[in-house]
Amino acid sequence: MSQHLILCRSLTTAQRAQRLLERSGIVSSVVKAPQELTGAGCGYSLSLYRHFDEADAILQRSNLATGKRFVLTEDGRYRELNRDLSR
Amino acid sequence: MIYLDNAATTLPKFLSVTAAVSRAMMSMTSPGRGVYAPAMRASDVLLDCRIAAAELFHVPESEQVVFTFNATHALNIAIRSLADKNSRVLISGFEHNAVTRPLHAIGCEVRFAGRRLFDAADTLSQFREQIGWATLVVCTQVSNVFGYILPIKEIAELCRDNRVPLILDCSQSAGVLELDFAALGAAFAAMPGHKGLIGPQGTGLLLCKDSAIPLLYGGTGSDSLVQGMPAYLPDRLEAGTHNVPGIAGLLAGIREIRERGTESVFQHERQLLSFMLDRLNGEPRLELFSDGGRSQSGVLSLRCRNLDSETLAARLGEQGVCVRGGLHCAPCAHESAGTLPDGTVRFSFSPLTTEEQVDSACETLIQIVNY
Repeated sequence: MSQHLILCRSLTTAQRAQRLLERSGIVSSVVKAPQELTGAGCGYSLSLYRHFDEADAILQRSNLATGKRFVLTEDGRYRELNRDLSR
Repeated sequence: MIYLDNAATTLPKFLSVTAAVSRAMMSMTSPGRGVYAPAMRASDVLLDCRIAAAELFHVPESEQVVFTFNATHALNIAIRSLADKNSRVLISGFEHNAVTRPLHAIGCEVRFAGRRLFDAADTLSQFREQIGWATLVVCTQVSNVFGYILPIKEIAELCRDNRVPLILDCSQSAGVLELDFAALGAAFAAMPGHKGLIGPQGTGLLLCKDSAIPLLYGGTGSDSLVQGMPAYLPDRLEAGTHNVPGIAGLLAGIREIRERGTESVFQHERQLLSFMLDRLNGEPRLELFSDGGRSQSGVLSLRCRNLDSETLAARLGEQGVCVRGGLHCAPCAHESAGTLPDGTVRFSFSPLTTEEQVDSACETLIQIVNY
């Protein structure tokens, strides 16, 4: 189980996304995004360990402004998933 | 004490409101500054409050609900976003200084539309006549002095048809009258938390159709490397630490109002108005400003023929009846009604006001004016 991060435009968006996933039984948590990933300083993301593809699909169908997706690799670095889902 | 100055600030609050404030002060910090439990509890309260307000006022997305310190703060953001010195702004004849002073400070041209009290047909006709001139309309939904309910649906339709942005001042109507923000198509609606929504002082909401120009610049806990304010709502308009205890109380107040229903609140206040009108009718020394409740909310202004309004309000206060005399920060409304320079004494109700309280206040009033 790898940690996946979904960047969110704002804390409000991250919270709404977390609640949306929760309604589908997907557990995630709101975390501060690592500074190296945001490009603009402080930002928020959703962290989840299971059901990433399902979560990804739900968020894509929503109108929530979520951004890039990352996976934490074994060497402790975040690798961007090869899909540009930024809105 | 009988408190009938609810158009200024509702008192008392629901017990759930004070409990929520207390809970927030003991367990919450600042949202957007971390993901530890006290910060996240605060973040959850903010989101819950945005969602509750969005549902109550039919705002499409909760991000369009922005927290402010009060309605004046919200109106200043809205007006500064849409008016400049070249603007031609049409306002009703019943606006508060929270509208007229920002417009005066900007230096734009302002015209009044409708100065006849309780005459919705005249108000609408005046707006219709001058809408072609206007680049912006700012209008209150209910006069804070007289409780006059303006024909907002029709004014909003006129604005939509003529592509003129509309800013609504819902200071007296939020929580009392139905407001469908999406259907009205207004650019902004401003409201306090501490009146009809029964929240604490120091809270307010700005409902935004689109983004706006910030009034305050500073930290938002987001995009910190960028020196411009974030482009997106609500962060764009919410610099600095939020009033979390206040917002927690506001959330509790909104939940209570939603449970009761605005129609029920309105009917309650209207019954009290009707009761008071019956009680005071025929008092020769009193002049009541009312249309019998046809286009009036739970606010009654009156004058006494043998006492000025400030003195009458003070005498009532000495007897434990809390009301407001004078101009109510709305000289424009008093000018329209012909009640300058003395103003009026205003009685205003809340969902928690009882008929017994109104009856007792009327008795005290009658004794004072006939002394």
